[in-house]
Amino acid sequence: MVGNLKYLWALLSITFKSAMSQRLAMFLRGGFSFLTHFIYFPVWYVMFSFAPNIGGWTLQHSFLAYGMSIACWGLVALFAFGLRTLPQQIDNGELDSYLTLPKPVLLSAALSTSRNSGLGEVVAGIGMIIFAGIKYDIDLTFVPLFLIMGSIVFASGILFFASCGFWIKQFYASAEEIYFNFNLLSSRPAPVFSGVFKFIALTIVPISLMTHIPVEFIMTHQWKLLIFSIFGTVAYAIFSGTFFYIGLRHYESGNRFGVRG
Amino acid sequence: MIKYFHFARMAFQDYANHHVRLATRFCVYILLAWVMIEMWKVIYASGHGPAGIPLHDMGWYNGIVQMMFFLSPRLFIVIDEDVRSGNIGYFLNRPMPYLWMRLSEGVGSLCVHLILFFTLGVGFLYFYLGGWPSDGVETVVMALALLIGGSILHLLFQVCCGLSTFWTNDAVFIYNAYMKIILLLGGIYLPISLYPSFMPIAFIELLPFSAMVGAPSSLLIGVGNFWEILMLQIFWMGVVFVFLNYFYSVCLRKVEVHGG
Repeated sequence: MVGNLKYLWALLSITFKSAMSQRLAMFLRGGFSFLTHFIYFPVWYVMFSFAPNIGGWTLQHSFLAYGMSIACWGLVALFAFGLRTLPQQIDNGELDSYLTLPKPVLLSAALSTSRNSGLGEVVAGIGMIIFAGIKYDIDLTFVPLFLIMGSIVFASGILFFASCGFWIKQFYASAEEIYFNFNLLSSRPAPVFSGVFKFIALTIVPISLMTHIPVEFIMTHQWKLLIFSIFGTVAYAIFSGTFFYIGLRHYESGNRFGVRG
Repeated sequence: MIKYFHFARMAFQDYANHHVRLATRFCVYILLAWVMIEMWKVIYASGHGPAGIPLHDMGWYNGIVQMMFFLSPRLFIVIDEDVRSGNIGYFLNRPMPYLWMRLSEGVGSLCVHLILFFTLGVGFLYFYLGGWPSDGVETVVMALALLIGGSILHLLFQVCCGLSTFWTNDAVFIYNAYMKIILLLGGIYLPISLYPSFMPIAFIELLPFSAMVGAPSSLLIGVGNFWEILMLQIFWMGVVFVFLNYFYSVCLRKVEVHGG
């Protein structure tokens, strides 16, 4: 266990160093994605100037939910971008090199690549949350915990859908579509999700664990929400990890047909 | 012209054979359209619904607006990969312009989506919302016809985003910025006619983003004129087409200088 944690730390630091090695590109992309989110957020201003209250959900809820969703997206892009390319790695037989290592395949496959535009998303997301905290006088003590848990939920969601690539070939484009909309849906107002939606948002696509429940906890401080959120995050992470290892049994090296001269 | 047709035909066959990709795309569309319609149900239930627009019509508006994003294939990714991998150098040797080859492939893939979404997508909206909009099925047909023009315009913009890889080495973040602008100025969450007074509505309605998405769908809530929107689309297609030709020639010079 200690060995794996050391390996995790080493991978994270190498990934971060690799991202930092292209500082100009990183700050350029980061800056651009930061600007992109500030172009987008006025959409919610427009929406809430028309309907100030969507089932109890207001602009301050949206600030927090959107901030969390993009910060989680950015954190996963910075530190675990490999999860998003997993279907490609499976198709191209790239897991072979990780299978020969004595360390867990999942750690190596997930943490070995980084996307430096994630920095802008993290900064924009945290900036929005802090802005909302100051403007609306919201206690942000638990935000770091929720950002970590939200990133775990989002990463687990990516892992779950990406693992479908073990059974479905050329799943990369479909998986990207799912991740993107997974994140997009998490910034939609929580009251919209009722009935079947609520069930979906708490189980297969647990966007509620990522943003809705944390935002509700931050606004109301009901401890049962925090406990539920922690249990949900752990359960979904275990479920996704198990699903990945079940899929790994179906992995055949060199799935990609090719001829080398 | 026949060569472009064959490229479009091959892309059509290729796309039509990816059943999982099509099914995923369709399911995600259903989920997003459903969520947006539910959001408007909550807004109407809270008493903030716009006067004069029934919830039913607003549901159609949202369903058709969301459809627009799922019709066009992600062409910018293909161009981005061609530029980054250097494959574009091989395509340039062919006796047809790379740009129009990719665009014709995009149109071929678009046709698969048109068939899927104009049948099953419209069917879903019909059954989920319980009938056609107040102004009848004709408005749906007109909105869908304009959506085709909007999708072609979207493809042209995607090609611009894809070609930006020559400078940025990553078209994704340029495309994301473009998408956010559409979300803001295209009337995605809220019809442009309902935008608050601090937004320059008259100006926004003249922009290509409105012509692509918001304006065609507005026909479903009784706003706008079919021919005016069509003219606006043709105008913007012409502008983007001319810009694209110029932009492509600049990119070609860059390929020649750097050797692909």
